Amino acid sequence: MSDYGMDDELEQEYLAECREHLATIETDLLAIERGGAEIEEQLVNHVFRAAHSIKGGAGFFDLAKLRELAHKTESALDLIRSGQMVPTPEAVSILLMAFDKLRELIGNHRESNGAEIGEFVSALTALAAGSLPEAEKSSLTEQVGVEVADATRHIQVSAFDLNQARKGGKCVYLIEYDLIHDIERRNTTPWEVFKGLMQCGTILETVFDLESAGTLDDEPSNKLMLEVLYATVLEPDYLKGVVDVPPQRVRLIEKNGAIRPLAGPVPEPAAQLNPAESAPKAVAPATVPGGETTIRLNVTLLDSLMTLAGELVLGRNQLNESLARRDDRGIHSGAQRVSLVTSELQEIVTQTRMQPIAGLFSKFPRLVRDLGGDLGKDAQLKLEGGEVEIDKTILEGLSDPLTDMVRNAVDHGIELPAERTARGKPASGTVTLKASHQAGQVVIEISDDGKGLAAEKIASSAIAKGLISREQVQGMSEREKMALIFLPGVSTADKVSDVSGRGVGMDVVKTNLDRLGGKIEIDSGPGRGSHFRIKLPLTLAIIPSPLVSDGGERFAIPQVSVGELIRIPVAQLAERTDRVGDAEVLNVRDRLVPLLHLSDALGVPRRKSAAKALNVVLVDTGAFEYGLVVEELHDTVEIVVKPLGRHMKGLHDYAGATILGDGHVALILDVAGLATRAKLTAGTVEAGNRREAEDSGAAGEMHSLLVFHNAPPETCAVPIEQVSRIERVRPAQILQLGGRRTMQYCGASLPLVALHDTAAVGEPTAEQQLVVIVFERLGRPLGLLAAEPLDMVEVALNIDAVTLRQRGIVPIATVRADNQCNFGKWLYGPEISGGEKQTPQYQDLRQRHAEFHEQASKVAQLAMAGQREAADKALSGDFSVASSSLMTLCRN
Amino acid sequence: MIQVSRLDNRAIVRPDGMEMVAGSIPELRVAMRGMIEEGVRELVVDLTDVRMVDSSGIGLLISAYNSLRKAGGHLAVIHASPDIRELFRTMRIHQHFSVSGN
Repeated sequence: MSDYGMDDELEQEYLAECREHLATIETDLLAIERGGAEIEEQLVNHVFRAAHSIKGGAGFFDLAKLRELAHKTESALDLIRSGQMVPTPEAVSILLMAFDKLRELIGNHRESNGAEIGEFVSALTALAAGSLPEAEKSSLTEQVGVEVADATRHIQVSAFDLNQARKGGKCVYLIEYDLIHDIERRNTTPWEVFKGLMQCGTILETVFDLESAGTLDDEPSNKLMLEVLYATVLEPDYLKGVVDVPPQRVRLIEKNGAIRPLAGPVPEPAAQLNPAESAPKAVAPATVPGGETTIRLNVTLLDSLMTLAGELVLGRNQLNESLARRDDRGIHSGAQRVSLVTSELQEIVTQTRMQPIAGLFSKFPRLVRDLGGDLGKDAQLKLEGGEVEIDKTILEGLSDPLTDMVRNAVDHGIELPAERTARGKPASGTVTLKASHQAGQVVIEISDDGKGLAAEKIASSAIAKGLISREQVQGMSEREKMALIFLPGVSTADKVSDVSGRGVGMDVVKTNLDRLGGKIEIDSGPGRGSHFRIKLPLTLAIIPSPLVSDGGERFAIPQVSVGELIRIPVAQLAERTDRVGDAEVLNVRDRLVPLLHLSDALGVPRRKSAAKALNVVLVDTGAFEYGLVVEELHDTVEIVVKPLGRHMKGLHDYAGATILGDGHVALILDVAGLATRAKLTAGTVEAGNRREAEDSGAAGEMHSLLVFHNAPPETCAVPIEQVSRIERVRPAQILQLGGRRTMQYCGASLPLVALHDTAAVGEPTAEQQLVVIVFERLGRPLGLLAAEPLDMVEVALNIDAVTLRQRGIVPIATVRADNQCNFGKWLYGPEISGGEKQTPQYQDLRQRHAEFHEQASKVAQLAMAGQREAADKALSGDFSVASSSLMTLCRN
Repeated sequence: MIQVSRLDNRAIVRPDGMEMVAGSIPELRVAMRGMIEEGVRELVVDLTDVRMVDSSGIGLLISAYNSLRKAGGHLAVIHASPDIRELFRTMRIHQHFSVSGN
C-alpha cells in the first residue's frame, strides 16, 4: 500500500505541474500568434517545453491519451519553432483547443484513457502535414459535444432530476443490490430495505435486471440484480448504516458526473455479471472538476507562521503557569500576549490565502481574442495590477462575473472596426482590466472605449419590461438610471447575439458580486465608453459584524450589509412607522423602507412587553434596503466565518455560523435570504413611495424645508437639499473683517451673510441662539446667519409671486407656519395616526387650515407694508371666508 | 395450497399462504411452469391472501414474466396489497406487467 501512496503523491505532483504549465501556455500562444511569421524563439520554446514535460509525465503514469495528444501538440510546436509552419490564427486556434482538451484530461486523469481525442489528433496531424481538410476544420470549431455522464448502462435519469436531487447538499449513489444475497440471505425483505432507504433519502430510480431472474424453466436464480439510484444527505462514511451491500457495489455520482466506487475495483464475479461495466461508462465531464487542492506559499510566510505558532505556545505556557499560581498579573499579561499573537497570526494566515489576481486575469486575453474573432471586432485587452492579491475564495467567485463583463465589453461596448473609424476612433478597441488596492479594499475596474451606455435606453428597456414605472424614472438621476441595468431582464442590445444581450447578464453579475460582498458602480455615456468599478473586501474569512439578538439567540450581520442602526423610542413610533398594504414601513429621512421583524422570520413570538424602543438595523441586500427589527443591538465584533454543514445549505436565512467569545455559536444572517423568504422586495418600498407620491399629488409638489427664525417674529425657510451643514455659533465667534462677516469653519474662514443685509427683515438679536446654515455655492461654502428654533417641514409649495417680492427672498409665501400654531402642531403631530392622516376628512381639514394661515399671513404682510385698505379688504374678504370654513369644518 | 382457475389459455393463480416467500416458491414455480407448458398465455396472479413477498417471490414473478414473454403471453398481478404495490412501483416492475389492487 505504501508503494501505491508514493505513486499517488508523485502523480499529484505531476498533475499540479501540468496545471501550472497550462496556466501560462495560453498567454504565450497568443503572443506567438501576434508575432506571426516572426518567431520569438523563447516563447515557442517555453510552450514546447511545457508540452514536452506533460508528455513525459503522462508516459510515466501510463496515461496513454494524454501522452498522445501532448505528443501531437509538441510536434506541431516543433514545426513552428523550426520556422516550417507559420503560427496563423487558425493554427493557434487548433493548438489552443488541443491544450484545452489536455487540461480537461488532466482534470479527470483517471478517466482520461477512455476519452475521445481523435479529432484533435487528426487536426494536429493535418496541421503538421501543412494542410487541413475543410471537413475536419469545421468539426474542430464546433463545440465539442460532451454530455453529462449521469447515465450508466442501465439507469437513465435526466440531468435535471439529478440536480434537483442534489439540492440541499445531498449525495447521489448508485447502489447495486442482489436481492438474494444482500436481502434474502440476511433475513430481510425488499420492502423492509426500501422502507429503510426512504427514511433517510429518496429513491430516484431503480432498474431491475430482468435477465438475472431467468425463466421458469431455468433453475431458480440465486442472483437478482437491482440497481438503485439513491439521493440522501448521508455521506459515504455514514451510508454503511443504511445500505448493507459490499462497498464496491456502491458508487458515488459526483457533481461533474464522474462515478466513483466507494471501494476498490469491482471483484471478478460482479464484473462478470455486468460485462458492459468495464466499457467506458462515463463520458468525460465538460468542466475540469474541482478547484486546486494545493497552493504555493512563500517560504518567509511559512517561517513567520512557525514563529507565531511558537509564540502562541509560549503564551499558553505563561497562561497555564499563571493560572496555577493564581497570579492575576501573569494571567493578564499572558492573555494580552495571546491576543497579540492571535491577531498577527490572523493576519499572516489571511496572507497565505491571498493570491495574485494575475491568475484570474490571464484567462481573459484568450477570451477577448476568441470573441473578437467571432464578432469580427478588433479588440485589445490591457491588463494592469495583476500583482494585487485577493482572497482565494473571492478570486474563484470573481471568475464568472468578470468573464460576463469582459464579454459584454467586447460584444456591446466595442464597435465594429468600420464604425470606429467612422467615429474617428482607432479601429482597434481597447478593453482595460485594472486591479488596485484602495482603502483596505480591492478595486477592479473594467473599462472599454466603445460606444458606451445610454442611460435613457436602459431606463426605457426597464419600463418596457415593466420593472419600473415611467413616473419613477422621471425623478431619477443619470446615475440611478444607469443602475437600472442591474435589474433582471434589462438589456440595451438591439439584437440578441450568441454572446450576450438576452438581458440575463448584469443582474447575474451583480448577484454574484453581492455574494462576495462586492459593490459595483457604472460610469458611462454614449460615445465615451463604459467604466465599471467593483469594490471587493480583501477576505471573507474574518469579517467585522454587529451582533444582534432576538428570542434569546444572538446573530451576526456582516458589516458590509449594514447601513445604519436606528433606535426609535416608543413615543416616535407612530410618527415614523406606517403601513403600506400589509407591509410595515419605516420613514428614514423621507425614504420609506420596509420593516421585517427578525422574530417573525425566525418564527418566535415577538416580545411585546418592556420594549422601550424599536431597534432597527438598516440592511442593504444589494438590490434594496430594508429595516430588520431586532430585540437588542450588541457590539460589533470580528467574527470568523464557518460554513454551515452540508444539509443546512438549503437554509437561505443564514450565511454561516461563528463562535463567539463566550464559546456560544451564533448564526450569521443572510439579509438577502431573509428578505426573499419574507417575500420582501424592492416593490414593497416602491409601493410605499408611490403612495407617498400620490399623497403629495393631491396637495401639489412636496418639498422639505428647513424652517429657521430671523428676528424673533420672522419665520423663514430654505430648501433642505441646499443645506450642507448647520453649526451653532456664539456672537463672539463672528468676526468683522473689512465690513464683511466671517467665521472660522473647518480650519478656513467662512463668509457669512445675513438676511437683513439684503431683504427688508429684522436682525437676529443677541438673546437668540444663533446658528449658521452652511450652503455650498459655486463649490465654496457660504454661511447664512439665522436663529433657533429650527424645524423641518414638508409642505406643498404654492408659490405666491405677488404678495411678497424682494431681493434675497424667493417669493415663497407658503411657509405660512401652518404647523407652528398649537392647532397646527396637533394637526401635524404624532397624536394623529398615519391611518387617520390618509382620510379625506383629515386632508380637507389640513387644506383649510393651510388656507387660513395663508390668508392670515397675507393680511399681516399687507398691514406691515402700510397698505391699510388692502389689508382691511383681505381681512374681511378672503381671510374671513377661510376662517369661517375652517371653523365649520372643525365643528363637524 | 394453490387455487387455479382456468379458461382456455387464461389462468388465475391464487397462492393462499400469507407469504410468497422462499419456502413456498418451488411449488408455485412448478405449477406455473406446468400451466405455460399446457398453453396458458395469460397468467394472472391473484395476491388476495398474500401479505408479503420476498426476494424469491419477486424472482419467481420475473421468471414467469420472462417465460411468458418468450412464449408471447402476458403476466398480470391483481389484488395486491398497498405495500406490495408500492414495492413493485419502487422497483419499477410495474412497468413490465400490470399490477393492480383490490
